[in-house]
Amino acid sequence: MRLFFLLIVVFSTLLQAYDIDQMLDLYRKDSDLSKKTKNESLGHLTIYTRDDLERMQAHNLGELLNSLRSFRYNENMLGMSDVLHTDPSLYSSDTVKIFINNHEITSAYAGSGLFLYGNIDLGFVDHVEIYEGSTSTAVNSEPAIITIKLYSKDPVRESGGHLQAYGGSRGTDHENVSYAAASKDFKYYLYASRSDIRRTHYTHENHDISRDYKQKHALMTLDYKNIKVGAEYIDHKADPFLSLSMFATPKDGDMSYKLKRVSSTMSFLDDDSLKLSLSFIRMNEHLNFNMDRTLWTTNNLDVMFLPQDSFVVDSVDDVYSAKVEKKILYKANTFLLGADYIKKSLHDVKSYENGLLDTEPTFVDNSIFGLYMQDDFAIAENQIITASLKRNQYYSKTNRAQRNFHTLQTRLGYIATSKKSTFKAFVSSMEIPTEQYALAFAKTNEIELLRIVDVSAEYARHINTATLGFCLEYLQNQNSKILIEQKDIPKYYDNYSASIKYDYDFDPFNSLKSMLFYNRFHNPVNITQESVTGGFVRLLNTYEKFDIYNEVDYYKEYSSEINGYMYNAGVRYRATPSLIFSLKGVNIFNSAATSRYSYIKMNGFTPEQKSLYMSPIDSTFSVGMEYSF
Amino acid sequence: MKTVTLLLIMFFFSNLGASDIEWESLILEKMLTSMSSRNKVLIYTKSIKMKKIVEYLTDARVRVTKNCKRADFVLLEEDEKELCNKPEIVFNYRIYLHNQNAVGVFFWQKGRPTIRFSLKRLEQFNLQVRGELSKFVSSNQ
Repeated sequence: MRLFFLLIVVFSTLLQAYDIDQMLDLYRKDSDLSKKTKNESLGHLTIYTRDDLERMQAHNLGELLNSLRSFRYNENMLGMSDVLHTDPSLYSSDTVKIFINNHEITSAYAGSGLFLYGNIDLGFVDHVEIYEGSTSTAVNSEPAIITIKLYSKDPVRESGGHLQAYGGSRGTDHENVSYAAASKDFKYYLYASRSDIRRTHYTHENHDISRDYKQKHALMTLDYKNIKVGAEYIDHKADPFLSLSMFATPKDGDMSYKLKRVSSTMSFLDDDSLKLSLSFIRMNEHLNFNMDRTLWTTNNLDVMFLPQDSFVVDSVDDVYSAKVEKKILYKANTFLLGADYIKKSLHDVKSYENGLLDTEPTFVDNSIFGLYMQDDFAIAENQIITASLKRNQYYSKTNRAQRNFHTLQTRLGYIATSKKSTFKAFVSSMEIPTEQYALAFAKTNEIELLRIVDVSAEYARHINTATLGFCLEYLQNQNSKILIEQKDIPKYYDNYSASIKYDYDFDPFNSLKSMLFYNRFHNPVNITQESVTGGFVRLLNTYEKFDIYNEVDYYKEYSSEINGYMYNAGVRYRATPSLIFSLKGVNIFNSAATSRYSYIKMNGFTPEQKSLYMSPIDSTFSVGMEYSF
Repeated sequence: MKTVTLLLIMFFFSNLGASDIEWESLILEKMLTSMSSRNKVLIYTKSIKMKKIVEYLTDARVRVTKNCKRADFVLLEEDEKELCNKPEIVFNYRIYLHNQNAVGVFFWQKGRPTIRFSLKRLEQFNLQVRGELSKFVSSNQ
């Protein structure tokens, strides 16, 4: 007790060295809301705090996804966010789950909302948590190997209005406005934004390849006593990038997504140990692709002589979910018992290929009933063993394969923390159904479940103001969905990952973060073992009223010509507490690693496979301002 | 000296870290001592959260009293009916706006912790904010 008071006195005395503005800023940094939401037992965690987001001037989520161990920001052939993009697969990130305020964003067709939210504007976001590796079965409705959680700004802390605008290269512009208010029982936060994002255009065979997009986004959170309600609207219109063109020769086309989402969480009992979450997501999709030839054309005569192809689809993608969870404390155990129900429905599908109506379009009507339990058992003051189990029962009425079946997730972990170090280790086994877009390419109804075994360990040592960390992960995939499209490839493939990180705080306002990683993985397309190295160094500095940001990201694939480094820099000038001016450059030297997109080039009557290389991160400079009122 | 202090602070952060309540008590202490030059500042509160914050106060001049009438300042977390007519420090801007005894407020606004003092109400209680916190005195409210 004496030591406690002595420490308080020492702490207080030391802080007298700071003026009141610095003290308020230190308080703001130290009381970041991520400290209340993060959960170390969920996996290997990277946090971007409010302070990080502001000083990095992070405009879009994609900017945060380039300095992680197991993936980088990437896009598929439609220009959609697809961080696990594997050419020529259409979409590879269904095991990457994304949440807003603990509500999962998913879709009936793709299994993840990442394709729409992977590069969402961050004006409404307070902080971001990214869990790499398997997470607790209590978090995701279906298994995930990466979980991204966004938390919107807290109405109590935001109280008042805020305007932000920036303009940048190629005519890009973005504006957002927000307002928050709070009384004793009633709190709300309103946010609206408009983005007109102009991307780098490429030309191939005299065809313009564009992934420009326009987005309108509105979000509302409302808290009344023990009830939290959220509502969101996104109107996203985009150019189709490569669309589904076999020759990488897209012609006029467009894509649009209109998303409406409502969600609520109610907590009951004095200790809020009983929670009920409800959510509804509706996504109206419109795809209009025109191209010389669609990817799936296999007949050589068709390839040579058919006139231009077109593919137009309109559909409605609904997801209903309900989840009830009870936390029980018993001796050294913290039990979580829960049940969830998800209904995924893709309906009202109107699909035209070359103007002809598809009389049997893909539809989905899946119901998933899940039961889960987790026990965090404290074996000592700073050590826990976490064990979780989930069983999902699927009732499928889709016209594709996979009928009624069940999946199982199991996970075991050990976490030890002390003032000087943290150690985490997890072993998990997950069964995952193949998503509907992949089933649409299936040549057989005998599709087996994808199984993933994930073993990982992380150790971090805190030495004064520095942190040195290591992480190892082994991930085995069985029955990858890529098997649907290919034959005669191994049933299993293995991935290995190792990383080392070093963080150093020069003082509370100046810090360095860095990481190096090495990944070795099996490429199911080329049936080869491939290696990737990468890393980043990030410096965040404050000098008087200036916040300065510098970051270098490096990425290299050894079996291809994909490699490069990306240099980002930014300066924020806090003219007054209410007025901020900013200048930022992303991929300043236009030297970031590219992504590969395969296409076919006809050599007489012989198709030859070629590749286009384009960076998912454009070289962009922007100037912005923020005003609070 | 400042470098040494910074290193010491960083050592402290790395080994203990500062909780919200520690910061809140330090900043509250700054507010209280900036308004009084007396050797003893008596504060009174009924709020459970405020009582916890008060436990972390380290300035020997600031003491807690159980008698509202003896207090120099009252700390209010929410709307509470106080009859002792003392200057109040509140932690909610809405209460600050409506409570005519609220001379100072410590609250979050636009994502940042903020301090504000009301010149009119300070004068009403014959108080003055000295030192670096005087820049937070506002004549508008």
